[in-house]
Amino acid sequence: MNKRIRINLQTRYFVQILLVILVSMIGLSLLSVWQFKSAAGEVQNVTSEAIEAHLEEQVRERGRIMTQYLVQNLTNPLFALNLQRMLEYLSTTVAQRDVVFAYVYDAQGAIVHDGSPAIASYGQQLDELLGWDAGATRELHLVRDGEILHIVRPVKLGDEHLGGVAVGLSLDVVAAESAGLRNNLSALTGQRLRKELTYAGIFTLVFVLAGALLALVTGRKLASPIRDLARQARQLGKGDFDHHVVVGRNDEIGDLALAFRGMSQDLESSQKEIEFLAYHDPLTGLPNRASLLDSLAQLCINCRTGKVGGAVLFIDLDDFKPVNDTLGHDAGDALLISTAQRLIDCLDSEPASTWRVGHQGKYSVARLGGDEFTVILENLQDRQQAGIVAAAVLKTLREPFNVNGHEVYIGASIGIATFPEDGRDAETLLAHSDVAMYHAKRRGKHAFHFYEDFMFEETRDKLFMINDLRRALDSEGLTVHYQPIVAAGSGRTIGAEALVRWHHPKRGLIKAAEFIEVAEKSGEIERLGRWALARVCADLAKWRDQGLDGLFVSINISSRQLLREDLPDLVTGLLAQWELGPRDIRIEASEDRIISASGESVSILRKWNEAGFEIWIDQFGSGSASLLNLQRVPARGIKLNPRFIRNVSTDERLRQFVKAVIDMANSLNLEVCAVGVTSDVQAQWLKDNGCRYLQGQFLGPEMNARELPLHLDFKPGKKGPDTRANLEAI
Amino acid sequence: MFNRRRNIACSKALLIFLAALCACQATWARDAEQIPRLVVMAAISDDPQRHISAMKPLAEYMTTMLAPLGVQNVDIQIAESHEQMIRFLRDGRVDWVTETAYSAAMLEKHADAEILLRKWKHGVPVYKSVIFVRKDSGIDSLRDLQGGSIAFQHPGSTTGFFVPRAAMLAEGLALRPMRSVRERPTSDSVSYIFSNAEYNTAMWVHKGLINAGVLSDLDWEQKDLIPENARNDMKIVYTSPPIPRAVELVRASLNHRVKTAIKEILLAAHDDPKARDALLAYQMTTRFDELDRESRIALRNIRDAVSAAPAEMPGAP
Repeated sequence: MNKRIRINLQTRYFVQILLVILVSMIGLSLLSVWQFKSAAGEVQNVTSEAIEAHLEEQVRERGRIMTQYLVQNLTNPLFALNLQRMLEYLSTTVAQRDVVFAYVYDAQGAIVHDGSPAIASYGQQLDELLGWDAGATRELHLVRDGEILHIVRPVKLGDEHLGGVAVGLSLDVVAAESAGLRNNLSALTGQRLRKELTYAGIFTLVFVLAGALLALVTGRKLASPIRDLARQARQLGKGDFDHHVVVGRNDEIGDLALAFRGMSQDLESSQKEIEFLAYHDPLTGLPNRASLLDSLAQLCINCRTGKVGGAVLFIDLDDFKPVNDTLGHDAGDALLISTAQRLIDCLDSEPASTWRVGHQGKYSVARLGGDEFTVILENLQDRQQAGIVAAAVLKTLREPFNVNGHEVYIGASIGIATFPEDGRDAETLLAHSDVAMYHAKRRGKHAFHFYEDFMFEETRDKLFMINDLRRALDSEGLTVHYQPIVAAGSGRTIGAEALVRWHHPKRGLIKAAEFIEVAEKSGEIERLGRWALARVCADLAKWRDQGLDGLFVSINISSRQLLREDLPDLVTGLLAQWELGPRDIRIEASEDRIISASGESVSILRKWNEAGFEIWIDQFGSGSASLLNLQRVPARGIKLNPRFIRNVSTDERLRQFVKAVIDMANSLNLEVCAVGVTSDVQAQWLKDNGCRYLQGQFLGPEMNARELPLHLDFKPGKKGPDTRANLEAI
Repeated sequence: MFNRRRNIACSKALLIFLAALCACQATWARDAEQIPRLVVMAAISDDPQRHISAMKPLAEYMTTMLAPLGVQNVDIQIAESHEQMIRFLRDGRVDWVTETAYSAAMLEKHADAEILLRKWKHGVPVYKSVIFVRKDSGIDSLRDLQGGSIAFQHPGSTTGFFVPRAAMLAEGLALRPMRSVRERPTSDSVSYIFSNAEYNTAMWVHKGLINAGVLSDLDWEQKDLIPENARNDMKIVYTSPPIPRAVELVRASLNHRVKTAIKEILLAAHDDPKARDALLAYQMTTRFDELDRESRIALRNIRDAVSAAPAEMPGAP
């Protein structure tokens, strides 16, 4: 992955300003150097041209003088052809550095002497040597030939033209002088240029330094508030809202800082809100579980340091669910709010507060969720004070509540764990108080119990059971047994009740009643239900395929699941997968749930009916359901509580009661099924008294799916018992 | 040391005196009673200053040397020309002259001077006259010069004029002077001109301006005078017998003792360290000696030539 190099703002700003200055200074320097160079070049050219012209004029003058001197001295020698004299003059002439040649020529333009002792060019034509008609000239001529200046001066004696002298002067000197001058100028220019460059360098340096300083200051001025803001942002990220950057600037950065401050404040308030939400129950405003754990941890510390006692009361409302179910969730919420208020009021008032007086006793109430509350008590002198408070709480919660115009009775089960006896840390105290509450609930509700170790083991068993159940569900550790249901009139088996059995590896066979609560508590009930239904469908399909037609299977559906609106459709869909219909199963649900059901529940039950399912009320007579509601429930029939049946043959009063129940059911067009029939006497009596279906050990023990056809003496290919027809007959 | 040397010199002088006394009794008799107080040495020159300073050391030396004889001073006199010198000699104003062979012959003839010694001027006892032409000129002898032209040195030059002219005349050639080197020579004679400079002579010949040139053998050999390649283009067609380079003359009527003393002193001068500087200043003279036979013949020939043709003094070009 590419990791980009991080360049902070100040550095970037700094570098950019420096670059701009550097580039402009270098540009300016280059420009001025260029200007200087071109100007200097021009000056150099003009100067050297002028000097060249001047120097050349000097050479011309020298040529004039030189030839004049020669003519003066060589006129007679030329006349007399005195070569000795000519040699003397010309040799000294050509010996001069700038003299290229010196000739004396005669009237015919032929060279007479050239200054060399042997006169090498004697007799040659001057015109040929010089390249122009010099020999014929009768007056002074100066002709420039490249870098040589020709000076030709004729010699006359009287009127007679004798010839002349011709001298070639090198202009190399001029060129050399000029070049020297140029070099000097150039060197001077170079010096000057170097000086200029040095100045430019110094200026650049100064500007760059000044610019760097400016960039540094500006960059810092720009970057430092941003850096501060960034630091503040980091602190905000850590939850520190106390530090505010003060940027006293009336510009964009000031705006940014103000916006930042606003944001920080908003963040702080929302953070506080979140914190409140995180630590409080939004419904009641009481501290929540997280807050409770903090408080408990603090309690432990306080108790340890103050060497005082503390306690936590785990309060679980009894009979809250029915309120929720029948009166609706709004009512449930209202009840919870009232409960919270009542708890606070109670703890503030006598007698719960007596323990506080003089002991600086402190309490705090929290809601753990659902219908669970806790009360923390601090600075307890002894455990019994917690008991007193718990009793007061129980008492106040036993008072009726007015919820949306309804008078509602609930109660509470309370578990108490004390510091340091039952735990020395928050988690342990809470868990133990929970265990104690659970114990209280199992022991008949509306009571409080102090935690004791055995309770924990009880609970622990249950905990283990949850794990085992999950494992069983995963690994087919469960089976469905079937107990035949017999038509009382014909004595024929018309169906069977599905009974989920658990082959626990250590405990052996466990009945559904013993683990259904665990399943419900652990949330596994749905999975269990789905599994059981699928199992039943598979068995039904298998039986059908074996030719065993017409048997139905009763399925107990947990009251919680029963009220799920989508369940009828789900079950219908599942049945359809096995090409089964709603007539192939019966839905059984426990009495209290159905009968105490609100209007909403009734409508859901109707949906079951509309889908074609029969609803049977199970364990009728065991709960406290209002009989009044019974007539509203769209049930097909009831299944009597086995307790009624057990002693029906011996207990006259019970017999009267059972008969009354059967009569009442019949009068409500509800069919009756007796469960737990163990003898022919019982069966006969029930049959005689209007009970149409019988179920029990006497009529058929529970058995697995394979055993059922055998029990019915059914052999494949043989037409199964027409139970329905028998039923009709009865 | 000094005294001893002086004694030697004195006894030498005495011996010379006695010898002279015996040899020239007649002369001696004529000038016997008269030893001049002043002896004047002279030369012909157009640059008196240079000559005087050249002669002065020798004059001083001679003053010293002649003092025992009674001569009190040796003076210097410069004549501008032969004529003046002749007059000086005739008038007795000049006693001792140094000259070239031709001048000496002139002075012998016209001023009754007598040649005393040969002078090794510039270290040279004798020299010759040479006539040269271009190798491609077709001239092989003096006779071939007939109808041609020749450049002489100058009218007073022994080897540059008198000796070759005498040779040419002896060959029967007629000589005709030219006014200019540009002038065309006539066919019946040899046209001549004075170049006044050895270089002119050589280069005129070399460049074909003139047919022949005359130089002393000393000048001919002088490399810085004639460019080597120029000389290679030319050849010598006549060489004269050797001629004394220079001679010392005295007035014939000079006191014989003084005459003899001068001769003796000069003959011994090259051995006298005191005389060395004076001799060198005096035209780089290395010694004086007696005229040998060859020199005497040469001088006689010159004298004869001078006698045959009266003194000519043609102008320089």
